Amino acid sequence: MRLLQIIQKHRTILSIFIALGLLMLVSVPATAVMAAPTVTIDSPGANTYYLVGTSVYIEAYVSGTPTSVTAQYLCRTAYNNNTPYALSLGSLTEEGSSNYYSMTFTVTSACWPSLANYAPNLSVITPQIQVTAIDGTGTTKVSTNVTFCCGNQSTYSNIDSTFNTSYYNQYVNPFWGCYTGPTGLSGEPQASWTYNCMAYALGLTSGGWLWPWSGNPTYAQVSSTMSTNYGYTHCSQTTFSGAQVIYYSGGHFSKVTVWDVNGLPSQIESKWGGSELLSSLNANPFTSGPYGSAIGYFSK
Amino acid sequence: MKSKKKVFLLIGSALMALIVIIISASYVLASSNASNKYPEPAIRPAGLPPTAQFNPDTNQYYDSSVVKWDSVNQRYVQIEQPVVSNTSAENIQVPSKEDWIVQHENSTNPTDIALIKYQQTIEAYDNAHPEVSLSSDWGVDNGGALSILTGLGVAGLPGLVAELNDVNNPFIVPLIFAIEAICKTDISFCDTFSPAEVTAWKNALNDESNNAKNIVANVVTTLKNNPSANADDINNQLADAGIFSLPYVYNEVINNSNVSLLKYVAQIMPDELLQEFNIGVGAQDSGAYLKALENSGNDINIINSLKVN
Repeated sequence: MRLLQIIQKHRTILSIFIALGLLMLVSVPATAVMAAPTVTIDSPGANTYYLVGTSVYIEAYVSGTPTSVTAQYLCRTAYNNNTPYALSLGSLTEEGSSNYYSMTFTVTSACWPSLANYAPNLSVITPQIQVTAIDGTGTTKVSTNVTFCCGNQSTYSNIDSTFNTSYYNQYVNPFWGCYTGPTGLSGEPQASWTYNCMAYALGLTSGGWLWPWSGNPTYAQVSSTMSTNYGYTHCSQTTFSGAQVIYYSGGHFSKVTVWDVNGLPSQIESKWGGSELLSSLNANPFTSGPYGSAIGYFSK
Repeated sequence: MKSKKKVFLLIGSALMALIVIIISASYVLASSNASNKYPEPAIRPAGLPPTAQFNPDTNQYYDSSVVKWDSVNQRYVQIEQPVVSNTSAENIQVPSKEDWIVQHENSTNPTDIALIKYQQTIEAYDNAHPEVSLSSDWGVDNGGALSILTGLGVAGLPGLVAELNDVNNPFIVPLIFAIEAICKTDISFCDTFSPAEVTAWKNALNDESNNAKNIVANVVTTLKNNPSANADDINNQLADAGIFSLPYVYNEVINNSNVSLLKYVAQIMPDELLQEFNIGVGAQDSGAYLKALENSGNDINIINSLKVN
């Protein structure tokens, strides 16, 4: 009797609760049906480095029965950060009826995709592999960060003889040669057109691409510019204790990072044009490649 | 049972011995590593930056502001450096070259057409020569592409300058190289082609134009006082103003009949006139120089009205 009285008293409130309950009962299964597929990328792992020529295995778990599962390479730049350029990599196929979809592609070209087509001072920020799954109810896009090195191990060793050593093991991930460090902008990969060797060696990366000459300057031209414009008071064609910057005959600069016990340069870091910032285990490692021999040493 | 016990005892003893050997060996190795540490030299080598730190593991100095020593992997690793604020990248508002080409692909403007052809030539060359990604140079003349812009000649200068004055043009670097080549000037203080540098470059170009009258007047005075004045000095003076000195040289030679300037006109004459009258720089054919000057009226009109904003 008492229960009936309570119901009588609060029937309006009860009606609202019952209506809400019914609405939930109807809407929950509808939401479950309408949900876009769930996508989880298993491979590549986050921040994986790939050298040119290596295979990239993409595998993703996709829920439900998608009509399409594809992969893209997302290329964000300072210019199109909000609307990245998406390069299609192809479709993923289901492994049996496992809801796991996979594909493999090979990194085929240096600095891929070419960034040279973009305006100067732009470079890729946070390159990503994206998996897109579509079914009748919607589209899901999930991405993971990756880095593509500009070359394979022989590309590097043809330019820098120190890359022939076992120190640079192409099967170590990240590849140490490429993993020298951030090259300027937050989240930027190692290859970039944001700045070049001279800008890095002189610590002027905020200035962008720095090259006050047309073509490759001589030692005399470089030493004149270094002393007049950049305050390098000690310039020499031969190595000396405490040298901080080295210029190479093929138009290249490096920053000295390690000196021997006598103060002579023994290891360097340098930005290879639009390619990565790389470390070298010798101060004069480019003699057999396009960057040539060390012909100028500078310090402040 | 007894023999089983023996076997267990033997295996146990062997395992114990192995553990003892491993522990001893690790101690020996650890102590030998410790003895491999190098003492820091009493005298620090001259010239090392204050950030150079001695590494007792390797007997080296390293720049502690750039790298740190990873004693486990025995290598130097890059220090995560603070984010560098790349003003030119962050503030860049210009469209990409690709977008600019899409926006201008139907243009009938000769400069637009030349810029599109220029970019196509650069791309074709760069795609065929992946090594360009290693270059530190600006690469504005890859595949000889710059000749597409310089080939527009003095007649094309107003169009090139108009593109340079457009802040949305992504071809600032090749435009400056092309304008310098056509104007036969060498301002060359653009290190990075930042907006501030480009403004300074434009001011310098206008200064060259404004100074041309005085430069030619000085040369006339010099030659009047000393007809055998050093030719290289005269050439150097005229070169400072490039083709901007052409109107004043024209006035001296054609209107004032001052033929002493004739032999210096080759280096300030637009390339297309040099080709038309088959003049090589250094040639001493006064007749050809005179003809070229007489036919430079159109170029002079363009040069006189050229202003870079």
